[in-house]
Amino acid sequence: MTKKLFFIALLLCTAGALKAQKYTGITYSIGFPSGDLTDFIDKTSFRGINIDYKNLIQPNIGIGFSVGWNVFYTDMDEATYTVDNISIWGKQYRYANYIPLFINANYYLKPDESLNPFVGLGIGTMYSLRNTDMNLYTYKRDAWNFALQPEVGLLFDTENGMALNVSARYTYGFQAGSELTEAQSYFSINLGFVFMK
Amino acid sequence: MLASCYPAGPEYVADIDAVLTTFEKTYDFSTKSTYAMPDQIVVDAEKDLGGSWVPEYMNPIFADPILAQIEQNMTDNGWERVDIDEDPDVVLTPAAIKSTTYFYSYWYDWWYGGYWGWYYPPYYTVSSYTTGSMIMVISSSPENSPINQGQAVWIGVANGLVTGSYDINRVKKGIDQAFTQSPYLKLN
Repeated sequence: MTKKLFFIALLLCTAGALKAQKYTGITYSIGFPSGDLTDFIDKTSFRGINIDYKNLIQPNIGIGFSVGWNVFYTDMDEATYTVDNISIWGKQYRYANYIPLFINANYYLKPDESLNPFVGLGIGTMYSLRNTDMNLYTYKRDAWNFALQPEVGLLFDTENGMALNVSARYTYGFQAGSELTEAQSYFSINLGFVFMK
Repeated sequence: MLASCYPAGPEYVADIDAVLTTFEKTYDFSTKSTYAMPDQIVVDAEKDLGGSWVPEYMNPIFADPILAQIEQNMTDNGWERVDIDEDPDVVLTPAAIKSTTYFYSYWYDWWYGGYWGWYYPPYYTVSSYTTGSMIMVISSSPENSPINQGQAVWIGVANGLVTGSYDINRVKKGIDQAFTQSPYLKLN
């Protein structure tokens, strides 16, 4: 259901305002685990990317969508893991992938100035995938979470149709599914460009 | 491109070493004291033209230090090794899997003439073994079993240790680890 809503809204906001200004952005994303993820992987992720699109329905309001991917990784020291009467010893390799798909609304505070701060909110879904590898085996858990993503950021207009973009996001996926049942969340710092036309 | 920026994971073959142990919760190891163990290690089995299972054994150059390591751990834990005809409390059978096949439950009988036999506990299956796995099974006496088969009361699997690049220290470490993570086997 969440996915359907997302794609319907995607069509609406891309088809809606043909004459309005459009912001298309790509950012490199550095992820910082929070909440339940911290217990699984507590290392910063330097593997992340976001693609954003905004349709400015007013000079200071942009509606659009965003797609992202952050992957967190760590390896554990050799240790024994016991469940009931089974014990397994070895090195664990842990992976957590997050693919958020959001409909976004951004509010630009100073749209006429070269330094243009903004606040935004994304609402949508996030695919969360967690793998624990030992030996040749992997223990996989995943979930489609209902998700929210508040954001604060700054655009620096270079005045040639492009702006530098830096932003901080908090991505929160609510409890979902039967495998990865805990809520999933992380912070991210995002650096990139916005093409404006 | 996505694969190239995905985290690397294990880099060396030793990084995927894993040791799995499991035991029968209702079995009381503390009342036992003697065990029997064969002096060879089975690595494979094939049916001959007459339909009988023919075991293939590990070269003693490799098998002897492995068996010695197992015996050392059992001795350290307070077990006494006896002959199969001296009525041992349990039997410990080591094997290495050359290929992932369902041969392991048969070879036991070749050694002991069908007197001792055992079956897998329901929560563990052969399909969990990979090629190169070192397997140790402790089975109980079949005295009280109507089908004359004792149950496997302890299984220790060192996955992937007996590989092409044979390294006796990795195998020994795996055997030691199997006993370390099984404190209920300690009698002393």
